[in-house]
Amino acid sequence: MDHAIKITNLCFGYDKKTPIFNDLSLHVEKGEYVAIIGHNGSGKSTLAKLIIGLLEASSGKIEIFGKELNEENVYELRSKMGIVFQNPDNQFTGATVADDIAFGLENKCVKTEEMDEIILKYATKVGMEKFLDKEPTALSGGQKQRVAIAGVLAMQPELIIMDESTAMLDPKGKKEIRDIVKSLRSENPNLTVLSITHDIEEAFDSDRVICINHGSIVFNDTPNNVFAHEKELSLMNLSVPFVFQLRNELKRNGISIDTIDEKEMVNELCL
Amino acid sequence: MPIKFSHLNYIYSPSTPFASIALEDINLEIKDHSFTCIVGHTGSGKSTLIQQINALLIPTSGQVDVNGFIVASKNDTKTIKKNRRKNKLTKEELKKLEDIKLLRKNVGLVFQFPEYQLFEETVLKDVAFGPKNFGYKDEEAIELAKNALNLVGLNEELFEKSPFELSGGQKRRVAIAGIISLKPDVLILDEPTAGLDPQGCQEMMDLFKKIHQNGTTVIMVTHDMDNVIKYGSDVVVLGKGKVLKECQPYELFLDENMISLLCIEEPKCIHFAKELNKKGYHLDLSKIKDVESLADEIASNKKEISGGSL
Repeated sequence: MDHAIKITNLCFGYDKKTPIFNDLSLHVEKGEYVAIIGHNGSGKSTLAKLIIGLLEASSGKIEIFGKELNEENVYELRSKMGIVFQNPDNQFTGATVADDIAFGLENKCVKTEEMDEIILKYATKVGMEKFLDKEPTALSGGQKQRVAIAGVLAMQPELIIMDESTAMLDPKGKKEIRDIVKSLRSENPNLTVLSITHDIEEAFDSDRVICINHGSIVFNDTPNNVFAHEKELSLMNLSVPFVFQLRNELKRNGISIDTIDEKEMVNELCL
Repeated sequence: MPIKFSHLNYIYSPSTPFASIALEDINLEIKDHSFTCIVGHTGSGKSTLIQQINALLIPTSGQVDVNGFIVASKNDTKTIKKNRRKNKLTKEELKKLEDIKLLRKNVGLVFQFPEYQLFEETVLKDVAFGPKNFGYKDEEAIELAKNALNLVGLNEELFEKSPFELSGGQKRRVAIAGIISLKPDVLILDEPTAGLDPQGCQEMMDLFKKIHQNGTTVIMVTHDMDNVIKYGSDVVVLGKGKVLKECQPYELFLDENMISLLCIEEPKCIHFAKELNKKGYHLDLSKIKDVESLADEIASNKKEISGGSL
């Protein structure tokens, strides 16, 4: 399979004494949804900045869709990537929702006549089509993040990086974003999503979970296999999804459950 | 001390074209030693409501009674005083009626993102600022500050550091220490976990739980229903400036109208319990606060069922 991201022997540190990554290698396949989890200071966000070329590796190789990232092609490669950051208030540039989605299009010199249609299309994708002339103050955090996603989608990226995009949202907002990612992926199976997250429930939706601690990979496996290691994860200040927690708590009460699907769990308990 | 709102109205910019009614005929009692959560949409009046409690905003009409201190408009206060004189209040009681400084010492209010308010050269000085402002001597203020910093779990090594060198979570702890250094009877928190990672959230909530267990009444504005169910003893739902519902946390999630009106996400443990109850379980929702209590409740219910069928 083709790689969307391939990182080989990456080394990086903000200063020489304290390396963040020492010989890190990982890859994300095209069309894959990968979640990177880790506690504060584990190097997750640094990794995102390295991938989009905001930071430069001290050694090692980062390949994006088969091309090695360097100073010359960073702009070309960035056009294939879209990133959604953490703070909903820091990435709203327009005066209205429509203006905000248009920001990237304007930079790309898309004709004004064509713009309205594109804006409407992507606003609809994130369920914000009724808010086009609304100002950011009228929106909730979750809605602002949805607008940010629409702005990214309008650039038709092949890879979306979510850097703690749900961290500042309440549970309702978190769920909105998770649902959008799910629907985008079912519409376009070629879309690659790399989500750097604290939200364990969000990581549970992914195809593969990579757990990073002190700049190295601790787990790199399916969500089911990673979250089976509750003890190891809790030592890293990470929790496990609700169904895993419940399964463990039920076990403590002498009830053993096999499934990790919420609906099946209800059924199993009713046997 | 219970906090009683009676017929309270609050209008922003009254008698101007921009007048807007923020609170309308609020009648509410917040119980002593409760952990009361205030929920509602943006613009429902949550922040306006809590600011009346320590007289940062004065009601346009009506009043809040905070343990004998009356927050009311100037005119209303006059009438209240007149009536009370008839009732032969002692001088002390009359004085208390208007002692705003004492009120603010007893009611600590933590704004959203309180870390933006840090300003001093060192952590210790920042926390001691409040007590000094309330007339404590330097040594006493430092002592109170140290106690508060210990309570919020900040390491002593950090006391002499600049508050701006700390991490986000630590900064917030320092800001909260500044409020609790005065040992308020009531602690009001406006979205205290906003912007913190799950670990930071958990630590912050555990801190408030500890403060609550020490006997402080906690009033918390929040959007996070998981915290409401886990830590709250009572809930007040506001909508368009009115009190829509007062209940226990679990009752909120039994009210389908309220759930859709508030657009809230049910806590996972409650959702799961409801699903089981649909299929014949009899789980007591009032006992379910988190995953642990959910599992306990399932286990004891299962025993009853199998015990009954035997």
